Amino acid sequence: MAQRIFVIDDAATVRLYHRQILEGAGFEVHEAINGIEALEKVLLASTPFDLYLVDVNMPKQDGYGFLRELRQLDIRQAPAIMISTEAQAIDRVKAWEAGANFYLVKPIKPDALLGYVHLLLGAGGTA
Amino acid sequence: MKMTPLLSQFLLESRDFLDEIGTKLIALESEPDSNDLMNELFRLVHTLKGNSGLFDVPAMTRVLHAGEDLMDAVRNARLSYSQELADQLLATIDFVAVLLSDIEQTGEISSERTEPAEVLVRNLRQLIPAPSPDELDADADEPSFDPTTIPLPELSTVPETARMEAFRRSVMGSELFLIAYRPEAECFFKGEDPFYQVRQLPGLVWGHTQAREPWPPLLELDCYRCNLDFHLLAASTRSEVDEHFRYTPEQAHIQALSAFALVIPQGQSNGGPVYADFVDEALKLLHAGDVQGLADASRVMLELSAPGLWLSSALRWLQLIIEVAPEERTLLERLITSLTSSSTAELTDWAAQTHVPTPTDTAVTESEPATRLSDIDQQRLTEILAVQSEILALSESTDGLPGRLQACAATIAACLANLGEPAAELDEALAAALELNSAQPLAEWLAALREGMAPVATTAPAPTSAAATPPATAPAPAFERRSSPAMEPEAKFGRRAEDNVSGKVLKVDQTKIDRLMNLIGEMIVAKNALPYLAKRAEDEFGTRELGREIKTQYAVINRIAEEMQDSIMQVRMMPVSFVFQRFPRLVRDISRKLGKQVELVLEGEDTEADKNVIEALADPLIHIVRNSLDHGLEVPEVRQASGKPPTGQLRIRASQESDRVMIEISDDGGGINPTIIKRKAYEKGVLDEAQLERITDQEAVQLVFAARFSTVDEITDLSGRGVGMDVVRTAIDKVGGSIDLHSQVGEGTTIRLSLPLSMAVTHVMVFTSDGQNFAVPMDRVVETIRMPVTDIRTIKRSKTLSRRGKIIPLMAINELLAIPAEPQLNSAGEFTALVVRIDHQPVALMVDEFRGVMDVILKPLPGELARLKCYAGAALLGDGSVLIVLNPKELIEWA
Repeated sequence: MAQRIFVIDDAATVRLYHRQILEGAGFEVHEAINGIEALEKVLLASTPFDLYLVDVNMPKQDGYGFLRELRQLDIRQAPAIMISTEAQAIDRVKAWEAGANFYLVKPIKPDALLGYVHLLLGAGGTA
Repeated sequence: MKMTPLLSQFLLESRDFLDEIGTKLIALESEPDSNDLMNELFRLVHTLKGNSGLFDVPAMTRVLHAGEDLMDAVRNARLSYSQELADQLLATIDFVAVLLSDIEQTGEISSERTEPAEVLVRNLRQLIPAPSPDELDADADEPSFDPTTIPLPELSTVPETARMEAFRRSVMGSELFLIAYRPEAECFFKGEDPFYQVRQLPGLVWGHTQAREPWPPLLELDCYRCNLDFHLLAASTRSEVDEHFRYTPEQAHIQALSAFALVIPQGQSNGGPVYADFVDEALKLLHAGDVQGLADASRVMLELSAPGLWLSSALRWLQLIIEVAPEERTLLERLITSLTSSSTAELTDWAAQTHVPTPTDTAVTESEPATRLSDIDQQRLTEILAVQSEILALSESTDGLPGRLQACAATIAACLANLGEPAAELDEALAAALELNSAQPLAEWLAALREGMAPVATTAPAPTSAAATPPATAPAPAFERRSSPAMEPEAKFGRRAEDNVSGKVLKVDQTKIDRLMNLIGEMIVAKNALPYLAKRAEDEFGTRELGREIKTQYAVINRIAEEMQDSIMQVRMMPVSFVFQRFPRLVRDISRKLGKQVELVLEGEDTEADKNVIEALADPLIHIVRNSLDHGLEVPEVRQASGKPPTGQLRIRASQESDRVMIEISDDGGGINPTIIKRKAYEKGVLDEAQLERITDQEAVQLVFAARFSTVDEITDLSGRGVGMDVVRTAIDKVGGSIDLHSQVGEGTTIRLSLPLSMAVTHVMVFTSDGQNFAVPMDRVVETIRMPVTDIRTIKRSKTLSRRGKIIPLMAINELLAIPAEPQLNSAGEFTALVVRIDHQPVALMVDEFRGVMDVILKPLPGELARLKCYAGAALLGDGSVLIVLNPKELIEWA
């Protein structure tokens, strides 16, 4: 069964970009446009997700907020990658405290994204 | 840019963003102090800029970046909101809207927009107040900056000589480090000298600088800011390197390296044949522990190969490892076997897994790693684990610790899975951590894991690298420029780049290029005289020094000549579309005439080959296409009756496979009926009764290539003009190509042509028989073998060999050429044979000894001799002797 990746980003373009790359590699991709919608989907999901890609900057609830709440849920926890832009350096400590496991800087090249995603899913390397 | 779903999504969403930014800006006019509005505006501009970064629209990204910085300044109260600011931002969104329309209409941003974009960027940036010195300092002293975010260079970009030097030093006990050093932009004001710092690095092997951001236009360039990243390769010790960067640890990303990771052969992969017998022999020598023999064999092979080839690079590594680390059997074996595929993939994957070669490490290198990660994945994995350590080291007061611990453990478990390691111990550590509600147990377990994984052996000897490195082999650390010619294979073929600039295309008379081609051909032959000269200098005049110098000079001339030949050949390259373009019309006309419906599909039209090859291809290809239309594809009624769509498909596909052009012509017609072929062949006397009994269907189908064979009773004015497929085969043979036919009754026929990219030089395998040199074209050669005489079986008075379960005929070349001498055996009582392919059948030819593979300019034999078909031609060798190149097919049939 395909591994399930949850892409949380307010920009539709970014979601589509990630979706195309990840689906192209055979992953099942789910989307949410902010932290609140994402939490709902996590709670409603019949199977827990295997990996989260979380944008830092979102309306309503940002990436930090989402991760903090996600990590308090009693579900099978999975790795989360935070995604920031180069202009806005991520606050590493804040990200780690919120519950991120890694972060990447937008725009992420497809091979790099797939490389890290594969590794974080324990699916071996890509390159 | 092509309009992809992603691009249209971007355009659509960007318009929404612009609308929203406009609304927010107007709203801000009535409440200029609203923080929420300000933050929201920043977020919108920020996201829009981020999206634009996914596409190649630098003008848009630059403008939005400036807008974003301006919003950031306002948001952080470094600047107060003003009417002018609003005007500029509105101008920005209007401008971005124009850019979006550009993309919508033409797929790219008009070049007219560059100038206004720069003006706009300047205007926006002017509004941003320069950060106060306090802020600068605060930024500069940011302690949490993580050096591992500085990108490391790819090892493959490090020149081979530097990697080899590092490898040597590693064997002598140094540890290796790949370092990316990013000095602060303001470093010059602090009295730092990054270049000096780099030059003083202990054990520096190689260095390279790179602009960390694209250089701005000269007018905007601030030459007092450091924009350079330094990429370094050092053979030293961890403590020395850490000590060297002790004042600026956050500016240097230091990665320990395994020496094996340096073994990356590089070069042209399609230039050389596979030296199958060399690989076999080398492996034999290796297994026999004959390191000296292996060294000699690889040196000979290296001398025969052009230095720019992948193969040569691999051989150079082979020699180096034999010289400095002959005990690394697994590495040697991998390297040798990689020669067959000219591919590093397997090698690097494996190397990434293994450790620095120290004598105690052999246990690791000899066992196969469970999983293989590439170099880059290995780096990423290390990076991910480092982050988990960082996470686990944080204070534990925050909420959701169990969840975070589980997520960390899940991440580490994924990493272990990648390495093929069990996760049982990890689960225990996690359970302990959860019980204590503390990250401590997990953090400790991870620390132990990372220590064990560190690619450098922890027990490395302590001597300083200076002492461990003999001065003789340690040249002063040189700063090499990145742009060494060997590393830019693209640059050699300048033509492609220049082609795009229409103003720079030069029309040249073809005879001039042909003349150049002939001259370079002669040059290649002439330069081959130098090794003979070197040998004479050594043997006859006893001056080894001079001999070596001639050889060195030969290597240089050889390289230049080959590059020159490559470039000239490149000029002669033409796309197959030159031939293909006739087909749409041809197919339409013919299919109409025959009352058939045919859809023609052309693929790979931009595949290139030498002009002569393309020209030689035209007639056979037209013939094959006509055949397909005439005999292969059926009329619509017949097709429908057999359940096929009424329109038939004819597909012509060109592609390049290493140094050959492959053309595949396939139809979904009726196919060739082997029963009919057999009957006809019998009627025409191509087959006798006994053969008719034995022949398989696939073999029968190949009979269409037999001379004077035509399968259709009535002669149409199209293909049945007495010209059969035998003519096609002859034409393809003539240019050194091969043809392969596959047919399934009712499903269609596929014909594959394989042609050389160029006919200028011929790859031949040279061998000796009774003291004379002969050669056969390499494209005929299947393999070279050495077998004990006792393995020869005689069946019905014919000699045969058993090879991979198949019986193949064995003939002595002496007999075929009527040379009155017995084939010679080597000291082990083995004979040497060359297996060639003749009409898809392997035939072994007994020879005396192999001399290797050579590129020669093949000239047809002159005068009456040209009628002797068993000679493909003759070539002049470097020592002035003539090499006769045989045509094994004719030779065997003739005998």
